[in-house]
Amino acid sequence: MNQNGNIIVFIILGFVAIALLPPLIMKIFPLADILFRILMVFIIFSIVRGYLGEGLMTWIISGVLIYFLVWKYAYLTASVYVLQILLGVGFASVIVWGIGTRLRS
Amino acid sequence: MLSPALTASLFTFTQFFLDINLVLKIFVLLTIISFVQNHLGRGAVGLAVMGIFAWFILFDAWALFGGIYVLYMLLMFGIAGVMVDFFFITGGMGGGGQQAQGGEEGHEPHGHGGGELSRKAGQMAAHKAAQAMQRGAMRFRR
Repeated sequence: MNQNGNIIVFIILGFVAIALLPPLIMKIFPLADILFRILMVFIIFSIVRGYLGEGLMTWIISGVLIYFLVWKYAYLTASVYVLQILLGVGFASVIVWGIGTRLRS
Repeated sequence: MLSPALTASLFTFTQFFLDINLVLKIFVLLTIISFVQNHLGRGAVGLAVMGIFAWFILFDAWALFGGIYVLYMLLMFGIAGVMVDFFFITGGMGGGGQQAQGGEEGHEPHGHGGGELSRKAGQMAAHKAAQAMQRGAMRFRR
């Protein structure tokens, strides 16, 4: 594999490592797991309330989303949430730039 | 005949896919409700439009709109910028780095990814500003 291929592989590995970090932390530190779940419950409820306002539908839809995202697939949600935050603040570009330039030199 | 382990893993994947599909549909439904409420309010017309939109997008043409919604969300999160950086750094996966090492002029920038990108964007903006100023000056002379 040429140098470009290595850079691509390492950048993808970097993203995978960052995606695996939240589930790892949640597995090692149970308190982090609980804190993240509480945080996600609040975030989901506030998102749904922002869309629908106060009412019964807000509670029902929040309940369904909380069951899937916080109870059933908490680790996946943690990974996606952290990646979303990193993308939102533009940190993903820093990762690509950092790994790419480090390997090129 | 499939082995029990393979069957179980396939079932798990199918279950996972269905769950994520449902979550995605709920988010799309929220988007539809919010969009129609902002434009038409919560009256009878609003509810009717909401129902038609929801039926068409969530059930009739979900295969199309599900993909579009995922793409829309990824673009909203700024995945396009990350891909631009990625291909600037890797030289478009076409061996640009080796060309650059061999002394030839490749398509990839020889700078440092994001910095090079912003430098080029700055040059382009400066060029456009100069063109706009020239146009303004010509209009003034007339």
